[in-house]
Amino acid sequence: MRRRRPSRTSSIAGGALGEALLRLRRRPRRALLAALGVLAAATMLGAAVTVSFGLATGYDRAAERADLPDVIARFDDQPLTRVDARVRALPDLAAASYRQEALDVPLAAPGHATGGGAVELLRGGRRGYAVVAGHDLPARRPAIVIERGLAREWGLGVGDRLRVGSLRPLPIVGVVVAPDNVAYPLASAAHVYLSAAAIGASLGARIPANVNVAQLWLRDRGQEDVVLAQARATSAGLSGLTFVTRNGVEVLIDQAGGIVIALLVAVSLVALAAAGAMLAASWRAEVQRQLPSIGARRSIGFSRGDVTALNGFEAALVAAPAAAAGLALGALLAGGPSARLLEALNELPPGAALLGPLALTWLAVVALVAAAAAWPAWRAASRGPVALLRGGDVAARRLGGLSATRGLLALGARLVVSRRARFLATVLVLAVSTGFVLLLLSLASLLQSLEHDPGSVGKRYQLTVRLGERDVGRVEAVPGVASAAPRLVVEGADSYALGETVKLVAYPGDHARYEAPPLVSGRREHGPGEAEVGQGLAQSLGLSVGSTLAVALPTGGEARWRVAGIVRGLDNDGRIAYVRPDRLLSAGVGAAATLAVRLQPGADSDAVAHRLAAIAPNGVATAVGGATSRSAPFLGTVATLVRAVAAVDAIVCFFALVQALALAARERLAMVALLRALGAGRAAIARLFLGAALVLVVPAVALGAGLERVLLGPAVARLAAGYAALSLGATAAQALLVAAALVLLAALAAGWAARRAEREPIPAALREP
Amino acid sequence: MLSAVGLVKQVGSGRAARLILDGATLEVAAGELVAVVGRSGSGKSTLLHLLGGLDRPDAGAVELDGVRLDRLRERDLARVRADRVGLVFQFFHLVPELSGIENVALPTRLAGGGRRAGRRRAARLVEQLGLDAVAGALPQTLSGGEQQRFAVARALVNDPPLLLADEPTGNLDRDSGAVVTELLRDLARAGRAVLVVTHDADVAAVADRVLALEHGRLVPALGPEELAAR
Repeated sequence: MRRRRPSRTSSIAGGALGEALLRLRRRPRRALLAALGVLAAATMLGAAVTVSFGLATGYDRAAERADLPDVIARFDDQPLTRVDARVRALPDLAAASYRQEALDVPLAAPGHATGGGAVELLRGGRRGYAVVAGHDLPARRPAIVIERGLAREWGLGVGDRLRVGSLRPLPIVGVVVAPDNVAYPLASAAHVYLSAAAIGASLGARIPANVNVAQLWLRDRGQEDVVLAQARATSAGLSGLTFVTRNGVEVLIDQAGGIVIALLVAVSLVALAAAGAMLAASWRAEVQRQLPSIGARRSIGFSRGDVTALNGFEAALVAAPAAAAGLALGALLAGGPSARLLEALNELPPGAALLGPLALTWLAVVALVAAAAAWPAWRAASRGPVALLRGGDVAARRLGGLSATRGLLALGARLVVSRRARFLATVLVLAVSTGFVLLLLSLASLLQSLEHDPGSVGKRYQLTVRLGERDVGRVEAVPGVASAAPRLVVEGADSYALGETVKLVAYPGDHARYEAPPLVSGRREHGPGEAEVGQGLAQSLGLSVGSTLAVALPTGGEARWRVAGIVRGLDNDGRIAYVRPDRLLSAGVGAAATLAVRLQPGADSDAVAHRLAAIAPNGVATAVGGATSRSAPFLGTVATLVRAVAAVDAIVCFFALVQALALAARERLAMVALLRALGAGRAAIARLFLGAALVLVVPAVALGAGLERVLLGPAVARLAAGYAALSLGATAAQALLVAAALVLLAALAAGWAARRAEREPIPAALREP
Repeated sequence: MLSAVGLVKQVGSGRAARLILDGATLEVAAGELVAVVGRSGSGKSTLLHLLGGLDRPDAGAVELDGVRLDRLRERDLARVRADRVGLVFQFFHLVPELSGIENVALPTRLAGGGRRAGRRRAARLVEQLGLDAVAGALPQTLSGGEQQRFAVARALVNDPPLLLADEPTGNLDRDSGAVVTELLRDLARAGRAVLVVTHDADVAAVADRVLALEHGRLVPALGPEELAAR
């Protein structure tokens, strides 16, 4: 029987694999160093993939699991039978369910209370929410399920009790997620769900069979437009009818997530690019270290393919576990803050679904590392064995300005600069990382300022109090108060495009004393017939200075203003207009019930609020936050996430430096040994490596700061909020902090390299040139 | 000046272990030029490394001006190498980015003393060795003899009392080798202790004493005249 001979390809592959394993076992420290570089980059990738995938798919995942309806119709209270008859007549309908939604219902639990409860009285059928703890509402027993945001904010769980309005406290049997809105407290209303039948049976009372919400599931989501057109055509008699589609909810949620989601996706993309550059550079460096070994193989007859395969296998063997560990670490680091962010958006974390993208990323990293190792090995193997055997011999080059007589720092700098291509690549990686860290720091500062500083969104008042215009004098008499003015806020819609909402903010006089968002074009409004509109509104409605803003008001009336100026406003995504109250009052809108209060410089906000409470027991004084103070925990979570990613990036910087120095040390093994032979101790060698590290760090900091200032900051700010100009530039203090941190990292890396060099025996390094 | 007693050094481990030095003993006085000869692989360079504090013996003692080198910490050993020992290598080991004179001045950055004084000493040595015309040239543009003379100048720039040279003429042609050999002889005459490890009969011929390294031990070799005659 003939034995099949192994093919040359398989024998090379098998041999290369075995030898690669052997090489790794023989040089565990070098393998460890390479693995650490891959691990650092993979950690960054893991964090980026976790954040990006979670945010990109969170809504769809939550909507699927919650069985979110395709269309949600809201209308004024109507008998269930009447609504049902019309709904059943709609084409392509798969299912429908109804509920009565009551807003501003008091909710209370031990230690917590709010007047902003949204009670959903369910009338059976499909729910449109996902139960994430406990179980759904029982058919007969009176019980309640609550939204996850409320459960987390108030520390409630299954088995606790919650008082809803005037009902006796009800047991919580489940915690649910309904992705048709963001979570409490990011949303002002805390949603709780009750079964109308169970409540009615328990109370022995007949619950009126009225509903004001219909949830519709379609057979074919592509027929949504047809169904909506039909629904509008048959809606005569249903007042206050509005439709929200599943896609529309996604748009609303995205708006609510606003700036931060776009920013995070943007920075994750930058992270991906930086990590890719790191991976390629680190393995190119590893092949440089192996040049003598490649030369030895070539000299005894190894082909270019053999050398390339060996390096590819070896790299893959190092990269596979390191990338897996790094991706897991990155996912772990970013997983917590990312999950909290998703919770705030009423979305679900990816869970096991994240394993797919992480596995793909793992494959990509291992393939990239193997390719990055194989390609330079392929190129290196084309050189003559003699040149390769000389290792990374560096062609001497005279370099001005770095005279060795200035000391070992300058000599170290020369060593690195002499390899120009690698020097530039390393500086570029460090610069991108530096720019990225600066971007993240400035982002975290911006988020904090949006969270806490009303001035960041142009607000010049510090408190609001629920009092009317006639109370202005009493409020202004309170010590610490500089001035007060009635602030009227009306939600309207554009008269021509009713889907475009507008937030109207009206002050009787010059609103700039209380709110002064910066002008983009035009001028401030000067009278009752003029308006300043936010950039977001101007973009969506195509408004410019001189055009007319026509707003359909909740009273049914309409008011018009001439646009005097366009302002940069973050509030309500820039869909805001500043006007005088005259035309609103004429259209039947009630007078302002809130006063905006400016404090005297240095006045204690809490003390003034306390005094205001004394003169107006029912008029709650509230400190004004930043972009939206309700979203403080949300913004805080995002800031934490951003800082975590910055920390990962700092680790990547450190490894880039360590790699660069390790490579320089390897290439200059003989020179370092010579210096030691001439009497250089560890401190002197550390100075040498510090010079090498500083010559990388100094231009990288300058380049990174410029990159952040000129490119990354403006690009990310534009991406985040096209309707507003965000100040996304790192401060001088932040730049100095990052520079100091990098210098510290450089010193640590230099110390590490010197310590490592000291362990090499001098005679062995000096044996051959 | 320099003494070594009972030096033992093994290289490798397990089955590959090899005893290179097995009780080597020698003394070198100030003003004396001693040559050590032996077969390739007999341990000449290893001996030199132990004497220069580049490596540590497994047993035995190395004493330089009354200081036991084998007992010093690495930091103190580095200080001894900077101040008290000059080393010359077969492959010169000049730093390729530094000019000849910069290579000579390099050790002055490692030893105590002023930078300016170091530069002056370097310039003087370069002049004394007839290298001022090529002082600013990079090593790759220099001949082997010029490179080795720069290496000798570098070894002398901190004015060490002991000079150790490992095959200083091994990479040079006959004429260049003769220049370097004469230089070493002059240095010994000027009062330094000079120990040269060599295969070169011409170098051995100018030595005050010639020791042969055989089976890990140093034994007196043939007299200089006999060696040269061979």
